[in-house]
Parts: sequence; C-alpha cells; structure tokens
Amino acid sequence: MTATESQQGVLKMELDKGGAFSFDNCFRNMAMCRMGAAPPRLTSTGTTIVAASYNGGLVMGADSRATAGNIIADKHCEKVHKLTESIYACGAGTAADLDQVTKMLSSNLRLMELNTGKKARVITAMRQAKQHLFDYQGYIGAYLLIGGVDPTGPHLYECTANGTTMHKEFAAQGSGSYAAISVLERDFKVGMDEAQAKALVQRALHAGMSGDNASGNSLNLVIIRPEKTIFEGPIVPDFCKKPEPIDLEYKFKPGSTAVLKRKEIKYEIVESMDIH
Amino acid sequence: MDTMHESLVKAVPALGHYPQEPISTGTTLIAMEFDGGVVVGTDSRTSAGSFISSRVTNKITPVTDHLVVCRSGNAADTQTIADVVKYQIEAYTMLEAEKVSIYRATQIFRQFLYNYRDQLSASVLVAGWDENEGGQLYALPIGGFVTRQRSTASGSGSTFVTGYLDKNWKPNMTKEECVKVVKEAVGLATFRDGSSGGVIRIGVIDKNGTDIKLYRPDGNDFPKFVAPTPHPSWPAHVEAKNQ
Amino acid sequence: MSIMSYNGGTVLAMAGNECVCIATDLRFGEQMTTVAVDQKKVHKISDKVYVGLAGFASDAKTVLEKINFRKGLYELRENRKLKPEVLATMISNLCYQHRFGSFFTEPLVAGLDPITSKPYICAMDTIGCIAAPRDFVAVGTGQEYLLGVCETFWRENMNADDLFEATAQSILSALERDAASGWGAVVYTITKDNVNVRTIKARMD
Repeated sequence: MTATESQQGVLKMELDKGGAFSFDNCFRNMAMCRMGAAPPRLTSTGTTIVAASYNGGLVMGADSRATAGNIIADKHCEKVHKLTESIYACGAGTAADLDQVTKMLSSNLRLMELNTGKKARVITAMRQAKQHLFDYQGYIGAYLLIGGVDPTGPHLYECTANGTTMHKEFAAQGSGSYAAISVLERDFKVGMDEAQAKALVQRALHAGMSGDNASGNSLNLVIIRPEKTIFEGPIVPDFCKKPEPIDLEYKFKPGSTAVLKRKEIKYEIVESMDIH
Repeated sequence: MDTMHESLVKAVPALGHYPQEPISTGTTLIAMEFDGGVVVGTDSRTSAGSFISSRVTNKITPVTDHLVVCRSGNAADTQTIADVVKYQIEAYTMLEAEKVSIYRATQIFRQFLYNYRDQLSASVLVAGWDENEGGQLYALPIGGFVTRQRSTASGSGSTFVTGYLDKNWKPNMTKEECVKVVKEAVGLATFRDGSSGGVIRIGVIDKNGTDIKLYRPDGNDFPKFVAPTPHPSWPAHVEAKNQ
Repeated sequence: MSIMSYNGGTVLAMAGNECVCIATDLRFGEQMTTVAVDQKKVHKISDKVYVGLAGFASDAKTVLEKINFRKGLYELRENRKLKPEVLATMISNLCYQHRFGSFFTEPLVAGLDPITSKPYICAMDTIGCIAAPRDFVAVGTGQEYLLGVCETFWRENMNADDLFEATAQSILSALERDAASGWGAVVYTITKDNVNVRTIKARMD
C-alpha cells in the first residue's frame, strides 16, 4: 500500500461514514457490562415542557434544568429549539439525542425551504422526526413537542421516542408533565387569546417545576404568531430564586495557593500568514 | 447491542434518561358488514402504562376514500404501517391506473404484519367498499393472519362484548341496525375495559365514501347502562346507620 | 462500580475576564490502587484551546487521538485557527457518532477565542451533550464536590490571578473528599498573552 492509499484509508475510516452511527465499541461495552461495570449516567433533560394553542397562534415553553442523576448538570440549558423561523420544538429525554435530532431537523427543513422556495410546514417537521425516531425503535430517547404556524394555520404535535405522533390542542411532556397536564386539563379553553394562553403555559410550567425535582431553575417561552415569533426568557419564577444573595465573598489573596512548579507557555507569533 | 439498556428500563425520571412505557391503543374495535357497506366503531383512548396520553384519538385511519384501517396495539407500529401501506396503495393506484381492491389492500397489510411479525405488535381491521365485492371487512391479528368477517371485535375491549355481538348479530342487517349494535357494543366495552374509553367514533363505509361520526359521553345518543350494584353487606351496623 | 470511576480523576474549568483556568489532578488508579502519580488529564489542542478528559483512561487516550486527528484535518482544510466552540462541537459530534457504543470519557473544553479572546468553557457527557455555562464546569469523580464549592468560590469578572486562586482552591477542596483523585494538581491559566502552568501543592494520599 502506498502512503497516499493508506492516508486515504484513514480518511475514509474517520470521516466518510456520512454521519452514521459507529457501533465499534458495542461489543466491548457489552463485555464490560457483563463483567459488572455500571454504564455512565447520561445527561437527561428530566423536564417539563408545555405547549398550548390559542386563537390563531401557539405558545410553547420549557424549564431549563438538565440533570445527570441527582446532579444538576446545567442550570440554564435551552430546551426550546428553533427549527425554522416559525416552527419550534421543545424536547424532553436524553439531552444529547435532543440536541442532535433538532439540529438535524432544522438543517433538513432549511434545505427544503431553499430547494422549494416555500416555508416549511409543521407536519413536515413532525414526519421527519417520527420516521427518524421509529427507525431507531425508541433507542434515540427524544420526546418532542413540535409546534408552529405555517400557511395552513397553527399546529401542535406530540412525538415520542418510539415514533408515535399525536395532534393536540395542548400538550405536556417530560417527567414534570403529570403536574403540568393537570393544570392544562383544568384551565385550557378553546379560543383563548394570547395573554390567556401565555399565562396558562406559564402556570403549567410552574406546576411542573415545583412538583418535579428534575425540572426547575428558569423557564423559556416562545409565542408563535402567524406574522412573527417572540422568544421570551429566561424567566426566573420567584420560587426558583436563591433565597438571598450571598454577601460573604470567598476571595483568596493572590499567592495564597502554594505553587511548586511554574512554567510559562508562550504563543508562537506568526507574522503575515493567513490564519484567521 | 446497547449498553444503556438498563437505564431504559428504570422508571425513575430523575435518574438516567426519561423513559416512557410503550404507547399503545389498548382498544375496542368493533366492525360489521351490511349489504352495501361496512360499519366500524372504536373508542378513543391511548395509554402509556396507566397514563392516558390521549383521550380523543382517532383510531379509524382513512387510507383511501373507500378504505379505512382500524388500529390496535403499539401506536407507533400501527401508525407507521398505515403510513407505509397508504403510500404503497397510492403508488399502485397511479402506476396501474386503477383503484385497488379491498382484498388487495388487505394483502399489502398482511405482507407487512407477516414479514415483520417478530418486531411489530400491531393488529388491525381493514374495512372498505369496492365495486366488485361491495362492503368487506378483514381482520388481521398479530402475526399476519387474514380472515374475512361478517362481524368482529378486536382489541382489549373485545373480550367483554363478543357474547353480546354473537347474540345481536343476525343475517341481512341494515346499516342502521349495524350502527346501533356496534355503538352499543363499543359502549359496553368501554364501560368494563380500563384500557378503552373516551368518545365513540362510528365510521360507515359504502359506495358514497367514508362517513365518521363522533359520540361524546355527555351527549344524548351515547349508550348508557345501569350496572348492577353490589349489596352493601359489611359492616352491617355502619351501613344501616348511613341509610 | 461504574466504569467512569475505575481510573479516577477530576478536571475543572472556570471562566474569568479574558482568561480561563483549567485544572487537573494527577492520580491514575485502578479502582483503589494508585498506579501512577503523574497523569495529566488536560491536553493542549492549540495555543489557547485545551481539553480535559476524565473517566476511563484508555478511552480518554483514544478520544484524544481522534480529537487531534480531526483538529489537524480541520486546520488543513479550512486554513484557520480552531475556536473553542468549534472544537467543542467537533468533540460532541465525535462522541455522538458513538451514541450506541460510547467512549467512557467526559470531555471538557476550555479556551479563549483566538481573535476576540472571549472565554469559553463547556463540559459534555459521554455521548456529547454540551453544557456551556458562563461560570464553571467540572467532570470526573470529584464533580459533585467541585460543583458545590465552585458555587461560592466563583465570582463575576475575575482577573487571571484571582481566577487561578479560585480554581486552585476549588480543586484542593475537592481533593480533600474524593478518594479517587489526588496526588497533586496542575492548573493551566490561559490568558491572551500566555499560558501559565502551575503545579500546586496538594495532599499526596
């Protein structure tokens, strides 16, 4: 094998998989599990996500806590993902899966908009998500609320990791959804105005954030109207605020840590070369 | 192949990722042929374990103007099958420039249910009308076995009403008689079956196409029953005081 | 026992005003046995971008090699310097490619934007979910102890000296309670002029 051939071989191995999953480690990982090693905890957006439609538009919202076991892995994570200008998706489940699935959806929809010269529809987003998730039989742990306004009006869909989809007027997902759905079931009315719908979604999120320990910190809202989309957040509800600001500062005097060895790495100054 | 499988099973939302029970349409599906068409009736409950994830599901999925499929089992599986078969039938109709017969459509469903019988948990009723055979009703339980039926019940609610259907079915029923029996049977099934509930949807498929009606539990035409109450028996003195 | 605590080790990064600090302990163990005391878990990727790789050491090494390969290819193809955000996305995609058979390592990225000197820090789980807060991130066996103590030690807009002290004191506190980490620590302070590497005095047990 010549040098170029082997180089090309390496390139193929590493990069030309077309973004497909690699199952290289599966056999080893299974063997390690068999030997009694526990798998690592994944970050999950043990979440409260809520959406409700109103007269002519849609309000969607999410809390902002990401957890790994009982550790709060991220206090201000963004669970309201933008798919297109007027289509948004809220996600619950495995955080990495949600990031990647929504990234895939938004790029596919944008490509489609550029190819057709028309705005993407909510049902297109839903079908793409559904077919991708069904292909992976629930192993991609993404539970989505996909909503938006398109030329056919406002739409809201619920999509689970197994690939089940449902059209809904109002919906909640995530570990805090039981608390949130109770509020929605009690107070949702057909033909609400925007302020009512926004207040309802916020109330449902508050219920999820106080009732579920995997939800909290702050909430993000997106209001999708036919003509424009408004993003609001992060909003920190009163019960999520630190009880009082810490007045004691732990400030260490420079030099208080004993240093044994010191090394300075200087940057190479490269002059007149296009590196930016 | 998956090392994370343990965490899929754990049902504690704060630990590991957020797993959900498989969503299924633990269902009541009732259907009957009449001269010139078919009547189908379903409940509208979709559950994930003990949680009702939708109370107004439409389980009567239109495939063509004269063909519907009633879904029961795993919701994701049945939705996908309906989507794929609908696509195949549309392609077939365009390529062959002729309408697909109900029998042919049923065979396409059977093909999927049989070929993927190890991976799918889906059982469907195919109901439709075509010019040659008139109204037809085919039952396809899990595994891909096909039978043509005059009257059938399927889904978790069916066990409660098979006797009722046996008693009330008779040859040469009219459309109105069929609708009455089917609606009553769905009502009876939802009354006793915890996995069925919500509204009743009745679909009629005949030469004019498909007509689906919805009956709400608070409406007047929703079947009502007075269930026999048990005797208040114990403790006798407490019951006596309360009465 | 989790694979993630088989070798032990902790990495912490904090962001300040036009500077970031990234700190690592030096222990390499096999469960309760200490095997080596000079194992740095922080690696230089480019002048102002460093990654920390906690978790299973052999996977950390494999991932580091893959990161360097992709980074080299990126710089050759794009003919520009790597921003820390770009490196983080690259590592995230690399980890997510192995979604169903993951590397048992949690990567952490800390660095300054090569042009604007804007600080960037982020941590990931084993399958590449990025968490990029503005204050601090920690991965490894001492994560739980670090997150608590950093909440009080971190302050808004610290300069390089203050940031070094806060980072060093945080990791020293974590080493007091984490048996799987220890045997000294190294703190890298990345500023727009240079990188200061300081081995700090820590308990050696």
